[in-house]
Amino acid sequence: MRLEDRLREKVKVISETELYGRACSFVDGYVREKNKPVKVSQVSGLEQVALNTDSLGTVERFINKQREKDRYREFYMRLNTELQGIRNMVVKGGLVGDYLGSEAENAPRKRFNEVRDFFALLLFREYVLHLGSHMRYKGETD
Amino acid sequence: MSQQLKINREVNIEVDREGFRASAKELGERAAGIFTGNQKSQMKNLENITNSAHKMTDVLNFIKRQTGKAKAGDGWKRSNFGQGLLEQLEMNVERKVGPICQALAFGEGDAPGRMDIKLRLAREYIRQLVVHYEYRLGDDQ
Repeated sequence: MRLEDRLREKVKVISETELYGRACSFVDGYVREKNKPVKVSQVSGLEQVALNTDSLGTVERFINKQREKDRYREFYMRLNTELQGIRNMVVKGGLVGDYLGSEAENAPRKRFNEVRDFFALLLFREYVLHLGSHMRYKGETD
Repeated sequence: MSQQLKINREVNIEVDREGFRASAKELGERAAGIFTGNQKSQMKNLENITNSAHKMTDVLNFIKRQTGKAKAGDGWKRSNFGQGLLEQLEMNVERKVGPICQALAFGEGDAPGRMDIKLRLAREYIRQLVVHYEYRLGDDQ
């Protein structure tokens, strides 16, 4: 199997086995604690940014900006924790190691972080797709 | 026998067992009472999305989005269709995936294999649902 196909397969597996459940639990936990339904407007801006940018930094800046606003502060604070968790997942899932191959051991920090953030963005997009779907579903039915 | 053929055979054996088709039939008939007139394309879209999906969560996300978009008491929300479909689909697929993996000697670590089986089961479930939907719709006309 080509490296590209192998990495795509890994992203797919992580999305289905880890991120789907994680996104659903995130929404369910938030709805339960706040005791009120979530709103689509809470996540539609994030969907636009996450799906249309090529940089994880842009997504992080968007989340930090939302955290400064009163309205959805806690939601975005929790989401920031999720994003950091996904970053760690990239390394643990072996995506960086697979991509860099033999270069991995001696790769400079900057290169390592670039590759890690590239895959973290791919995974975060998957997470946001699951999150948006579950929020739309829960937002109306709860 | 190739691995793909073995998977096909095991999936078909499980699909033929009690419960799977009956559940899809019940939902297909329920759908025939909901998606009529200009909403007929909803079931075709569901089938198309399922056939082109790369993983089962793509199908679940589609159902959630359609259910979330529907107005209260209408379309996917009528008679709890969307919620019922999600529950039945997840339950029927989860229940079948274990025995199939066992028959094929797939270990816990074979996530791509398990995902492939889940998607095949989801496709079969939706295909059955749409067949019964169209059959019932034709009956009513």
